[in-house]
Amino acid sequence: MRRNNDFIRMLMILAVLLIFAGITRGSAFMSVLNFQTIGKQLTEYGLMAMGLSLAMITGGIDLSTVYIANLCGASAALIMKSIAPHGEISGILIACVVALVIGLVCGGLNGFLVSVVKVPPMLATLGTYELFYGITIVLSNGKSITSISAFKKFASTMVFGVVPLPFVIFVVAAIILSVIIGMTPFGRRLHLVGVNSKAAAFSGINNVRVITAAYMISGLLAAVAGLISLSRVASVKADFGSSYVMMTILIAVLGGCDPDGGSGEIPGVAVAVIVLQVISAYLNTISWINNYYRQALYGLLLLGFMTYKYFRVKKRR
Amino acid sequence: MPDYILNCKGICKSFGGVHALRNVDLRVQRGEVHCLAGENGCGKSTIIKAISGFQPQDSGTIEFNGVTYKSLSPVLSIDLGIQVIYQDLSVFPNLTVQENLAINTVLSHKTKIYNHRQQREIAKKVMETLNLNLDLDVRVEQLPVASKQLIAIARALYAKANFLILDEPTTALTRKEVDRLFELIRGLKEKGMTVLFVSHKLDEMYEISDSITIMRSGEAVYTGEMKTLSEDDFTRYMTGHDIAFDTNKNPEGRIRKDVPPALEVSDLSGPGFRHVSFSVQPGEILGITGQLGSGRSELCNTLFGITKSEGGKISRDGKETSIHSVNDAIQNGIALVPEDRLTEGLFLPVSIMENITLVNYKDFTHSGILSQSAQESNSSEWVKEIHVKTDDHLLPVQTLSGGNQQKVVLAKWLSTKPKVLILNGPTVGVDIGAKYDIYQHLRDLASSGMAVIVASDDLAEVVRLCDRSIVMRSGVMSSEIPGEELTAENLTKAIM
Repeated sequence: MRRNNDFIRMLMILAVLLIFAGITRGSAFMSVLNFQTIGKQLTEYGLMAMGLSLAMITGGIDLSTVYIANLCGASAALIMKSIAPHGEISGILIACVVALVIGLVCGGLNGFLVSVVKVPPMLATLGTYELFYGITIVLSNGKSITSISAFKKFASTMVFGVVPLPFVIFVVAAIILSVIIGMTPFGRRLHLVGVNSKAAAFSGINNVRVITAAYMISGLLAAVAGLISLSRVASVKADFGSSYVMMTILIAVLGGCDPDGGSGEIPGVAVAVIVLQVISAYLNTISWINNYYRQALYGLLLLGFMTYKYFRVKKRR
Repeated sequence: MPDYILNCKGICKSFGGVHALRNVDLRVQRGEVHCLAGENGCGKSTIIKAISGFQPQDSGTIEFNGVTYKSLSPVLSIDLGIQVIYQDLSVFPNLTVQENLAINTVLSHKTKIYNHRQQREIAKKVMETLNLNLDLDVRVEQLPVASKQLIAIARALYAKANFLILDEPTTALTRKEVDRLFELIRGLKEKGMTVLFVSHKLDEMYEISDSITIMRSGEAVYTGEMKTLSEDDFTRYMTGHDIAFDTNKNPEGRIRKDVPPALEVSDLSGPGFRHVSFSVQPGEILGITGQLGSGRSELCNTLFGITKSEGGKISRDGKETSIHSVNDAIQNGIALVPEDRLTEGLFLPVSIMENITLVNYKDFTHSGILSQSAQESNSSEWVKEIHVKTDDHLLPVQTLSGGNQQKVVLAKWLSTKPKVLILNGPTVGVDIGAKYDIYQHLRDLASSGMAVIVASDDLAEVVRLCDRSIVMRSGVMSSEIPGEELTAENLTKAIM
């Protein structure tokens, strides 16, 4: 279990990117407003990327996070509409708690399928992806559900007047997860299960419990992401944020998670989230780069990085 | 003047600055079974790779059939009739026996069409050459290791081999299968085949080999006839020093008879074994022996909570207990050093320190946070205590030799302070030096009052180490052999 290397590498990349963006775009990029936008936008997929990282550390993957988020967002929106149409705080809180519980249950289902039924994680979460997506379509009749107006304020709140609240949530989540994954026995077991689940079983590690917990945390994070996006966009739709699926994988891998399991730490992943949003924001400031290129760029980045890693590992052997 | 089919002269090979082979001479006479012995990392596989052309030497020459070559390539080597059967057996597990046997011929044919009938004929012919009788339509992955090996050998023979290299062929075989393999080798020898047999099991070498070359640290330290080599000399050449292991077990001083048994099992059944009853006292070393598939490993796994028991009682220190999970077993003071170190015992890319301490996280955790420094100090104590040879216990455990890896597994379980230590195949793939080290540790542990259970199919090990032994045969406990009758002959009779 290598520590910190990925974190430091990502920090360096981030610094280089910021300097580069500052020099080439000047004040168009280096503005408080731009950084606030960056901070607001990265939270949703940032949370999901960290959840997916936990799954990846155990040797799995979680493709369903975006659809857990949408399901939770839609459920919360519907509950708020019926019990808190005028923005009653208690109703909003109940809706949020229900959404978080739904996230945990969805994650639990993923964990159950992967650890008990032993469906390959890719297929299990692709299946639940479809399932959660379908449920959200049914709940929303295929249309988008708007949020009650009182809930919209939540995402646009500025802490100390400058820092967007979603970004604060992201940072807090990243710190808590860094401690859990990097410094507790649970975090260590997560890695060990990912390295060799058989040896883990022979060491008294309860694979089912560890893996299920990882997917449940991922589900919980997705639920938080769903609530934030409900507030930020003011509406939720079954297929909102489909492109995030690919992005979360890219972030996890860039951040140092090994798709084969066993390695990866949250600090690296968290900085990778910021790096990706900075790249994306930078591309936004360049008018001649069409948004349609973005998907291809992310694909290239993932493949390029995997190839780089492959050669590095080969050289070390 | 002896007729050498293979004559390697002054072979050198280095990787980075490390000399894997230093001026090695290896001479094999035509039609003999020549044994290549040496501990792990002595250069055995490096010289085989040079002979098979897989990894040519830096300097030195290889003479084969009277022709001298500067270096061999894989194609040239195969053309000369050299075939290597590797430990990990190059068979295709997802293909049938027939396809495996015929694949070389099929691949070398120009035709692209898959001809089932023709394939079957080839496969049958190959089987005949070896008097094999296997179901041609079974997928190879469903066969035992021994059969896979026979398929690999059969394929090699069909490729017109006249020099067969067997790389540790007996590691995963039962005694019966070893006998069959040896019979096969003798048969091949009569037909003029030369065999280079790589091994580190002494009794097998005496049984099958005509002559022997012993390697140590990249050098050939002894070459000569097998029968003139004494067992003590053998050990000395292998390890470079004399190893004394006290043959007097002195059980009276150790075994505590005045207390209830540390572990008592009555009428225990589980997947793979039925109605097993035995007990072991504190301080005693009990053997459980039996061939592969006799239920030996299954019994160990059930005692450790890996698999569920299907009836019967387990008592610890005279009190009945139940074991439903590995954690139950650990709570009960039971530890298991599992059979397969690489897949069950260790997390290979993970540090030695982590591997030793990972079963005891709660001891190093304060208010939820794991203290790495506490882990490190605990780990370095164990590394010293159990003589793990390493400069840095933060290195991955896969950097260690087999013997030292096994010591790490042992340390990991000793750190749980078990009262009953079960070891399944404690010295498989462990070199002689580390083996005696481990024996001595186990005896010391028993002297300190631990009950030790050694499950092994290495009969010499059971005889040397155990105070008495139970014998498993096809899932049942067939007999119990008390200390005074514990000899290799009696055990051999009992397990068959």
